[in-house]
Amino acid sequence: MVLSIPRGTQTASTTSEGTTRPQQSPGDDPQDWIVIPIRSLPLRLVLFLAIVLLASWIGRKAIRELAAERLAQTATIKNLQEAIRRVPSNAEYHHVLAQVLEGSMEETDWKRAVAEYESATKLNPHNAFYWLTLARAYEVAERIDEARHAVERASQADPSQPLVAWQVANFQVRHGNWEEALRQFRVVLSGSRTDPQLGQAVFDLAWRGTQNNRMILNLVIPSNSPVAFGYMNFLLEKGRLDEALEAWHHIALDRLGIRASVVFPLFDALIKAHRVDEAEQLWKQVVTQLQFADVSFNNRNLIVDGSFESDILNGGFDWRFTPEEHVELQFDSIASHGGTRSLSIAFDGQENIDYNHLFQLVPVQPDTHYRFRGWMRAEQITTDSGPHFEITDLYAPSTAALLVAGEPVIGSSNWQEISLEFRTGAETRVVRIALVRPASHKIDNKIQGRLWIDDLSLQAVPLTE
Amino acid sequence: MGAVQKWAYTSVLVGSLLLFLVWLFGSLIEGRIELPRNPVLVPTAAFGLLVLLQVLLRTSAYPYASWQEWLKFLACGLVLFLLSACIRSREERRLVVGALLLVGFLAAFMGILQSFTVPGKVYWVIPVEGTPFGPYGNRNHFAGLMEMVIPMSFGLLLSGSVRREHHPFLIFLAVLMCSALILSGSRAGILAFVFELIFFAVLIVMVRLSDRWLPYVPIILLLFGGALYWLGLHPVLARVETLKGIGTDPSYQSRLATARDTLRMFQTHPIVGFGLGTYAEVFPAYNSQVDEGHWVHAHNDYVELLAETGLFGAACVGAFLWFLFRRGFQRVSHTSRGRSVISGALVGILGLLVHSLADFNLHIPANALVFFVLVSLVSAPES
Repeated sequence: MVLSIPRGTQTASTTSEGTTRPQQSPGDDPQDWIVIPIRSLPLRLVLFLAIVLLASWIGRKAIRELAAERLAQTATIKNLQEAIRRVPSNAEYHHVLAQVLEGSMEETDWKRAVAEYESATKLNPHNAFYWLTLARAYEVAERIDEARHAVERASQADPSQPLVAWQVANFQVRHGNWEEALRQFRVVLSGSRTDPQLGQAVFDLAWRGTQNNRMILNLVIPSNSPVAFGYMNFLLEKGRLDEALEAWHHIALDRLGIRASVVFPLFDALIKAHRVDEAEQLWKQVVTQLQFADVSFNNRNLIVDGSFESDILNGGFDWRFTPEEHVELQFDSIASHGGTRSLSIAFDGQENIDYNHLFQLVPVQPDTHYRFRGWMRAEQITTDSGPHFEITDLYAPSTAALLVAGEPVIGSSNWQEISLEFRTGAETRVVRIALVRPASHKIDNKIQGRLWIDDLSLQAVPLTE
Repeated sequence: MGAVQKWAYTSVLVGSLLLFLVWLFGSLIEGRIELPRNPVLVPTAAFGLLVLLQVLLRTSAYPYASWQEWLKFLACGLVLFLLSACIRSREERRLVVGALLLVGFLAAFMGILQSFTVPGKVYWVIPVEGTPFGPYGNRNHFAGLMEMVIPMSFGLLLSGSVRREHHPFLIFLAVLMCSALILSGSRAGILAFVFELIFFAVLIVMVRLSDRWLPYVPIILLLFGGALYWLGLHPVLARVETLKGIGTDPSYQSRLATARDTLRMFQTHPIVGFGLGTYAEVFPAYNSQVDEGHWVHAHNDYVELLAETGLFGAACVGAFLWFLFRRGFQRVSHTSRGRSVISGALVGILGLLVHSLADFNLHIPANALVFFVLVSLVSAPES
């Protein structure tokens, strides 16, 4: 056999493209081939057979692997064993076979299942789920040390996968390793599509296992994730107000955008517990974070957004309302006393409503004289029971709660100022300023008409006034 | 065509092995073997050898996965070799180009029809999760095919070797494929295509490729604009609009983080990598993002190559690209025969390489095959 590498010769170049006639490249040899003459027939035969054998071996192997894949799609023990016989290096076949064997009630099958799981992890030690299933099999066989090692390998193979973290955490819980379990719960909660129910399960498990709020906050709850609010509300549901406050302080507000509504359950729990100072601090934090323009803490007016220039937050120390079928609340930018708009309340005349659905909680000082002012306008308000303002002590018993009430508004009237004065009791910390309309006792009792309110204020009045 | 299942690449492998045996048989009957002096074959063979050693010496993190990838690579390598050995004349080259254009036409036509009739199902019957388009389960991979084939149609138009009465059909083909590419909504595909157009324009001007291009531009633009208007531009524009805020796009941020994590993976095994095809198995240990999903590919073929084959693999690919583009530019600059078609192939290759910065087209068997066909058109010796 002679190896000849002939050099090409330059040929004249012709072209039908363009107007230029570029020269042929020096490296562009027309006979750019390595020619290997093989004159000997036996050599040709041997070479051909060798390559045919090699190609056949590769092709056959590929086809066997394809056939094995088809077999493995029907996951019976027989099919999987045959698939493994054809392709012993595919870890997935061993893993699936182990899972099928695990479903059997035979003890020998159980032992084989463990062996197959081990084979899967030997062939592919990077798959976390192979290690987890092996760990489970070891655990059932009471080979706890080996199970622990398998769980560690699973965690190393995929430390960021919430599903893996959940299983690892549960293993650690079962074996009392709470610190490690909590670290894994953090990964579970950090998943972007965390199931809210899964979040609740994590909180519940972590709380029941440790009862240690600080530990849970440090190891489990990311401070810059909405998950932190979920944990806070979980604690509130359990009646753990102090822990919920601790969770609130754990939240990095500067890195996490909040909606006011996620904080209101904590706020209401503080109010309910008569912890008004803390509620005020919480309110300040919320409105500062939300840049709620209408709240000024230097303002003498204790009512938030008395002119209704901002949207109603429906919680905290802002206005609150409960929708009522026969009453329509809306901002009115045409009929306003001050600012750009007022709040209009329209009664549709279909119901003898006992209305108490619009109110605001206002923190006050005990033993202090206050003046409430506002402007009201009415249009064809019917019945003898018209709407008016009532101010009550939130914490007093209902029979002694009323501090002051205004005159009912009936008929039509232009903007009229109302002014009510009252003195808080020795225990009064929060008053409830509400627009009310008690049900009428007369036959003609279905209230109809529209009321506008605007420029409401509540200020402490010095005794000299 | 866009299939990634084992049956798809096994059939290609078996077919290429058979063709290789036929070629060998024919050569031995003649009493001589003519090996094409194609410079890209050496780094290709070196890369194949590297992966084979990863499997045989069990340096791969999961030898079975590397073996599967080696089989796919073998199929592509055989196709490259056979085309290099067998494309000897301009007519044969045109046959290959014609076949590519036929594939492109069918895929584009099917894609457009499917998107208006049963979007979400491939071949109108196979439901696919995600964003299928045409015969591909992922619109980005469909765009990859179009990126490679569209420049071939331009190249053929400029070559002057096609009769004038066939030019309207070529223009129609080009417009159809361009429209399909845009309609697919693949942002990376559209960007890569824009890059291709710029590069093609530069080539035309720099090497004075042809003076026939000027009349075609307004015709193609007009027809292209009309086609898009008729097909409906709003969803596509909305998709392209998202490129404005790409810096804050969560998908983009996620891919950046994945690329960084993949480089950390490379740093652990920098010489020969973890093994071709092992990315999906090994990456989770390096993934810094808490993610319920599973990254099968890095969506950046370059960092994935580094992680899987290390510096050796990167050197092979680097040499491959160096030889390929050197050969290609030499031919485009100097050779008169078929240089417009070669330009088209070069642009198609470049477009896909640009797209590979954000996707994994070269892991789709059909696209990898087409890529190597283009490589053979550029690099195969001429007789």
